[in-house]
Amino acid sequence: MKIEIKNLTKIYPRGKKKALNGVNIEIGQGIFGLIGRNGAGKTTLMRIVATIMDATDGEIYFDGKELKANKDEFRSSLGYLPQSTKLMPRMNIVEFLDYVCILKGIKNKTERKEKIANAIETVGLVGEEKKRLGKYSGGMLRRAGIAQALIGDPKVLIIDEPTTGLDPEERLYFLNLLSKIAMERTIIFSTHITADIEHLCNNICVLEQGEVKYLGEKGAFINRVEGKLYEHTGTPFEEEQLRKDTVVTSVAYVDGKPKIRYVAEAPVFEHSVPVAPTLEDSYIFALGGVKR
Amino acid sequence: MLFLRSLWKNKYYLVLATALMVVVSRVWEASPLIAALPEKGFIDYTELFVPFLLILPISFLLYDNFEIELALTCGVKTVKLMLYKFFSVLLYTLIPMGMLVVFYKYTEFTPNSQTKIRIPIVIPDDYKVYMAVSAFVTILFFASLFLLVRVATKNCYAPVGLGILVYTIFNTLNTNIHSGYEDIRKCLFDPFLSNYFLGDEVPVNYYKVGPLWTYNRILFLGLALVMLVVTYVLLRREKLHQGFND
Repeated sequence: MKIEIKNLTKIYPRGKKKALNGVNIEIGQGIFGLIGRNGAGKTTLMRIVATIMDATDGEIYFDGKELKANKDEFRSSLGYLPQSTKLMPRMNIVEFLDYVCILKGIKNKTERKEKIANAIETVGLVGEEKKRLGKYSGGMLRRAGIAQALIGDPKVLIIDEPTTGLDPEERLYFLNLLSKIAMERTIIFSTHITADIEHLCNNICVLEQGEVKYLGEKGAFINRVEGKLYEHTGTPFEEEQLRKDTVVTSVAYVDGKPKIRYVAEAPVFEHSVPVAPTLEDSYIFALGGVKR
Repeated sequence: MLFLRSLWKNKYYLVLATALMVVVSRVWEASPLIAALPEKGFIDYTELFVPFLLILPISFLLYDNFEIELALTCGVKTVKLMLYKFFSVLLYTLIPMGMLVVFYKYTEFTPNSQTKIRIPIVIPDDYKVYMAVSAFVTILFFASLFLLVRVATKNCYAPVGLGILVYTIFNTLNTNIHSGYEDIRKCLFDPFLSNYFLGDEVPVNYYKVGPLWTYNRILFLGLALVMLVVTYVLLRREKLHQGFND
């Protein structure tokens, strides 16, 4: 499914700033990564696309149809995993998925059972059916969330910051699961962890203060700082100078000395070494440099 | 399907509501909700206790923001989700009420305390119809009040607090008037006492103010309907989904 977001603006009733300001994005099949700081507008954008919230201005189209006028049709092809990690703690996964089936209008009990069993198997929660969701680990809860999103075989999945708070093993398992279910689907995936995007997405959008800072291929995004990124191990004084004159993408203190990565047209100090950029370098560069 | 599921999920509330109603209407002697006369007893607890029984579950309906969002993305509107839940709770409140109507009709009521204040109250000849209408309006009034507060404040604790406040005011004013207290300013909130406003003089006998009490109910009915409309508009605008913070 193709999703077009045109000139989308959101102002909260009591908000002074625009949560989204004239956002234009085109999303095709595959996993689309939405990256930005906390408060950049990712969740707002996802909630609007998920039809939970209305935009102040702008339109969204899916396969050429206007979303606002065809909400029900879009919802029938939608799976959504919100940022909330609580789900329904007093239910076990079978009860939870059964409720989702009912919400999605699946009346036949045999059909519900079949769909629930398939979803549980897909997300690898077989054997955990009797445990209450409140007793699940963070990773298991995210998988249960994906299971509910998969009910009804949706063409679009919207997944809001699913890897926050997961340990590395759970995170990798979850990302692999996402790549497995991405075939023939459009997945919009938001995160503030660049490694997640590096692992999963080809097309990305960087949001900052409600505005699109970058939209396009991940490779091209990284290449924006190709040949301009240097690493320098120096003194705190030099760090200050680099912060003033260049865009610093990271600072790590090693043996008491600052190891600084910075973007500049030419090396500022003689012994600065050119290095290959990562997605994180490009991302921090797009945001205007690392904070103190 | 959703309604049936809601009925099944809330089944324990039926037992709880029945038990509480029996206790309050027959056993809880110290409560001002209990009166010596059989009809009065029923009227009184439907005035205050039944709405109060509805308050808690209604207040906590839609507690879960995740559930609301999930339902929306599945194509189930918040108003629909709320109504399914509300009606199951309402039904489970009305069933024990009906049982107690039968109970009062066919069993002799023996007041368990002769010292308790006896309040003569409006009991017209067709008091059963009157009672049912009165109870319905009161329930509707309270239910809409709490739904509105719940939705407007995006908080499930506010209506509970308001419930306790309203209950306290009712209770205090009732006690005051039963003791012969006649300060008209304090009668504002009380459906019984606002009779004073509608009559030319302070009535000596409540039996005489039946029609006035009915006018009072019309006022409450109007307020309830207005609040329901406002609640509906708020829900339609999906204000609720911007976070409950509770």
